[in-house]
Amino acid sequence: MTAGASSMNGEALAWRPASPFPSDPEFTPVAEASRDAVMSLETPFLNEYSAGAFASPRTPQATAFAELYESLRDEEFDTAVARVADEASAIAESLSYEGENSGGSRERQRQAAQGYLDRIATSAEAALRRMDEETSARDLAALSESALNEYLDTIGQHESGAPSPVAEEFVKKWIKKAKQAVTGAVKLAKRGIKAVTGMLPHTWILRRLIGLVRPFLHRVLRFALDKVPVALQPIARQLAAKVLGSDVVKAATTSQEAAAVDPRAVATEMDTMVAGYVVQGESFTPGVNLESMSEDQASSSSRDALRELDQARAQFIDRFGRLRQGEDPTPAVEQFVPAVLGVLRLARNIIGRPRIVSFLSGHLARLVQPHIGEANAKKLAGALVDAGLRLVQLEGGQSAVAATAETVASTLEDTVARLAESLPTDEWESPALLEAYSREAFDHAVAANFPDDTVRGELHEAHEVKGVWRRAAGRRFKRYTRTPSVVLTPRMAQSIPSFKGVPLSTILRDRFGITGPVRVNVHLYEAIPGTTVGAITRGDAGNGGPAGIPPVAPATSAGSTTGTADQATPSQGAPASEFDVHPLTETTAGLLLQEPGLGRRVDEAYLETPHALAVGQRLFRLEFEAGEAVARGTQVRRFRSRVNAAQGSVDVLINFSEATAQEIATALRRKAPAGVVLNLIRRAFEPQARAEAEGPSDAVQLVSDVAGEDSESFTRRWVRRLGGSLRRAVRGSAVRALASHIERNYAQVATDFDAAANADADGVTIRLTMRGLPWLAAIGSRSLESVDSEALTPAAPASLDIKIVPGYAK
Amino acid sequence: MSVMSHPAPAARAALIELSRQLEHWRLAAERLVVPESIASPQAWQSLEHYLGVSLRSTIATAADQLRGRIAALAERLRDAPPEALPRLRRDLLAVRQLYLRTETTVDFFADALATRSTEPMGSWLRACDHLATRAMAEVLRPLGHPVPAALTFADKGAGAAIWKMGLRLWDGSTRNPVAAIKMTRHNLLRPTAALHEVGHQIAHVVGWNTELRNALQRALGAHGADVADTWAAWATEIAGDAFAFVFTGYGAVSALHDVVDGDASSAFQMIPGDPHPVAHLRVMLGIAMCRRAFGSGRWDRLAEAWNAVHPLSFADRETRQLIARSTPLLPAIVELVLYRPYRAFGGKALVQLVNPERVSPASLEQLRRDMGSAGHHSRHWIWDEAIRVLALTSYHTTSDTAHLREGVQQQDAVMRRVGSHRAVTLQH
Repeated sequence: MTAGASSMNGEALAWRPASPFPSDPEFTPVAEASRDAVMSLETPFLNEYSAGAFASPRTPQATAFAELYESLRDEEFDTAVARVADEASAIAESLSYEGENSGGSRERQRQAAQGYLDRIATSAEAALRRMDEETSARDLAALSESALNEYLDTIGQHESGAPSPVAEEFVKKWIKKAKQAVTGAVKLAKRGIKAVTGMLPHTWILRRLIGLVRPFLHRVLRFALDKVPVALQPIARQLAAKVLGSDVVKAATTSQEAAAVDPRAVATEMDTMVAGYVVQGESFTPGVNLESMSEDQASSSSRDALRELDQARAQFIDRFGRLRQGEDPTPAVEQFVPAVLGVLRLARNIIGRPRIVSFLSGHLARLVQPHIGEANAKKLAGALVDAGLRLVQLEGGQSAVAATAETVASTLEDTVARLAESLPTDEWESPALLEAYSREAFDHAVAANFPDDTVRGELHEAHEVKGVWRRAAGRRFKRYTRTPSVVLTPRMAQSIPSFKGVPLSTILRDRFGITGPVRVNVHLYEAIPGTTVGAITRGDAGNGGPAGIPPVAPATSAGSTTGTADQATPSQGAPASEFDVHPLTETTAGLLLQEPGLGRRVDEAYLETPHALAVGQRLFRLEFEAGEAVARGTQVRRFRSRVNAAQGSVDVLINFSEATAQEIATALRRKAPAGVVLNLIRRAFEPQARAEAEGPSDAVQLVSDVAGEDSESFTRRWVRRLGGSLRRAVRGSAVRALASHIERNYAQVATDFDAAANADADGVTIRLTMRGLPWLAAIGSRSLESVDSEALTPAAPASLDIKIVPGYAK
Repeated sequence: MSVMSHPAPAARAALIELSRQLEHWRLAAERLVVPESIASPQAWQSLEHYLGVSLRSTIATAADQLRGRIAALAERLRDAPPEALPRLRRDLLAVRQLYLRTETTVDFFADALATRSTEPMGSWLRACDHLATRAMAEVLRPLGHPVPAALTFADKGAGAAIWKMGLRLWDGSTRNPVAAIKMTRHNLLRPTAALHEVGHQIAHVVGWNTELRNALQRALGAHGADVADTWAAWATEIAGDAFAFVFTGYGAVSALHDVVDGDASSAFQMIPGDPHPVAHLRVMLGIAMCRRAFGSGRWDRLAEAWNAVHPLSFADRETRQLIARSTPLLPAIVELVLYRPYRAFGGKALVQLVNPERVSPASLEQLRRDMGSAGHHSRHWIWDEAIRVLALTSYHTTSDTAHLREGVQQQDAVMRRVGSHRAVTLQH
């Protein structure tokens, strides 16, 4: 019934709010809340600095710092950190016992994870000490750049003492970072920029790095155990700002809640620290103890927000389950809501405002009241089973009442998270706004967590696939209770972007060798506070389906290519890798499943890497019905570029997967025409670099020449305004440069590519440095606003430097 | 189990003994299915996850069946009257038989897993899994059939074998969850036999055996019922050889030759009911396939060598006559087997599903040039083109002694890499 409606005799009818549930006789309007609450405004956000577009030029030290920092940034290191953290989490989680007191269990988990990280630290320290011994007597500054690189390639071999392949990979990446730091230190020393340390620059930085291993891993331990993004103190960044005399632009905040700590934040801090040490020496951290720098700020040292939430959730389920029809659930909701708020960075400050908490809790309690009692629970339980919740879960001890209580708990968590995302907390003091937004959030949460049979039609997320989002017992993520079965065609796969905008077709080709249509079961997940991609791949190990056992006949409608594979198959299947989990946006859900409502829009920042997910973000994993689709484990092709307007150069890095590298090498061995070879190269990178790619793409990065602005934020500003044109300009110029080079130097290209493809490394990389690009001059040092996108016309460079190397070079 | 009380001491004594024996088998059945007693943790870990789960599930099902029978018998023993003794005793013996058959099932997989738990054998066998699975997928996927999982293991003997997926196992009720392929140790690094064995699995899944048998019967009927009957009876093994040929070319024929070669009695042995063709005809049929698909080549030298070593005069009269009447028919049989469309293949011929031209000597030479020196380590080649790489190394071994040695070494390197990659990806 709408507001303003009239009865038959012309009197205005009282407005009744619409419930998300189709028949809800118990639903009553919300009482008007008091408006005289005085709330103090607190911002949860850290102070943000910004540099003007025309800030003063950098000092030589600041420039050196920026260059070194850029050279230290290594995505593979970030990934290695994420994996180590995930492994530490897994070790800790394997020790959680029900019934044991939380303190004892927590301590045992911490010790186990600490033990694992200690072994990694020992291995890394030993490797760096060996490097130090090998280099301490050498004057590396006397070596040319190529000689230095060659020399560094020969050192740093270490005996593996790491406890796992993942840990071993981390140690290797740490050694690589040390080599990068040494190279940077030597280069800067040659330019006359070196910290006063009393010893050779490379010796000094190596010894610093040895000392940084344990504090760094201690930090990793913290976020591996806590998971919830605490306010990571950007100590190093602030020191850089202070010491180098420039302000630093903080990484962009998003309006969405991160599900867990982004390992890049920790890795970035490390790179900033190392760059600062190389440039400033001891004076970079005057009087600061390294160990204390690894401690995060404030209350997180003793809090465990996720565990508190788990306990509060269990208590709520118990209390709600024991309520009888007609009883008031407000006390139960009131004890639960603060715990939910506690894990949300965007809403944590609300905990200290009891009036808001009370108002919100009362409002939510009224919304969930209709589901109290056994009779209501039984109805819902039946609908849950129809939606794919396995009956065994109910027969295994979980009664209908408990299943209902769990559904309500999930709905409340979901509601609060959506509310925090949609309404800034400084506006929660307005009861009307709070009620309106929370009601909307509740509607969407119900649509996600309750079976469609109990939800109003217009709220349904899906039309044909009828499931619910359910948190599996003991898992820190939600899974959809239905697993749609679809035929994934090459066109579909080309149009579906994974993280970093890499088309799904590229991943299927490069990792699985699949190029044609293939039938897949699509497993769907949703991130909740604490979800990491490792939690998903670990927790879903075995949910893959066995080869050789025919899939359940899909329930297809005429003309449809979708069906539903029953979730009844038990744990059978290989555990997924993080590369096999992809973002499920609305567009992707529409393309893949013809159900856009199952996808969820997220900020671009959460489409960059599977290691940084947003709360509520949805993801999918493909399970191939053919058992032979075991991933080769090879890298996927990549296209990256760095535009340095000040230096007038564009560096392009094209990483070819092993499959595409061999394809190109074969063409060269067969002396295919230059155009054929060029097309193979273009085909390898253009799908990723295309301007119209949805979501982020790290295809273009701009190097800032503005003091006080790091490349990431600089790039973000420029790409936001000129992204498509820039990518076109870079890509087009690279293609023209390659065309010209291949035409003129075919034999040399064939020899070099052949050698690189024959090497025992995965893939091949082409590095281009282009100079004298007309459109680059158009950017120059102009402000962003004054650059015309039409000026960014692809053109051949005046000069080109090209290297073809084996492997996935950076 | 409670002691029976009965006036007849002898019967009571017999029932007590029955109960005691039954308890023995019950305890044995409990021990039978403990995973660690079947195979080491490393052996289980060397399997793909779904394979491991499939095997454990099958073993558990067999054990449950056994335990169920034991429990039911125990229940009946509880208050059994003396006149039930004979029946109960028969039931006990049946339970004992079931235990032994179940044990055979468990032992089969335990032995298979044991051969995979050490290196480099584990890598070699995982590489064979890879070859087998890719081959099955290449044919079955386009035809819309699910692809069975493959579990390869090593054992002694001259020839490979397969226990097809879906086959009823020794316990009588459970079905084989995997295509279990036995590879002989001597041929592990020339594993074209794996493609022959998966050919059996493929033929079984698509129903080609019956179609081929009928086709041979009809086509050769004009040449005598005995000839037609004999060749029709060999349909399943011809099917296996055909798949090995289309996948790996002459290398498969040469490897087959090395397995079946022997003295006169083995070259011309004909055992009634044996689905394997007479070795002479089997080798000649393979050579005929090569001639049809590739023209002249090294197989001509093989034919010459075989005929020189195994003159027909060494065969008995009946076999000699069969060979004499069959030899002119070989080209027609090749046409029938490789180039004729079959319903089982969706109306296509086998060569349309797996084109042997890809493994002709010329194509293999082109492959060798295309691969460069990356061919034995590049994950693209050894993984995506594993079957053709095998065809190439196998063809290499057909040249002479030095090349055989080289080919085996190359295949060894390739299989260790594939096996090692597979192990890593399983753990990811």
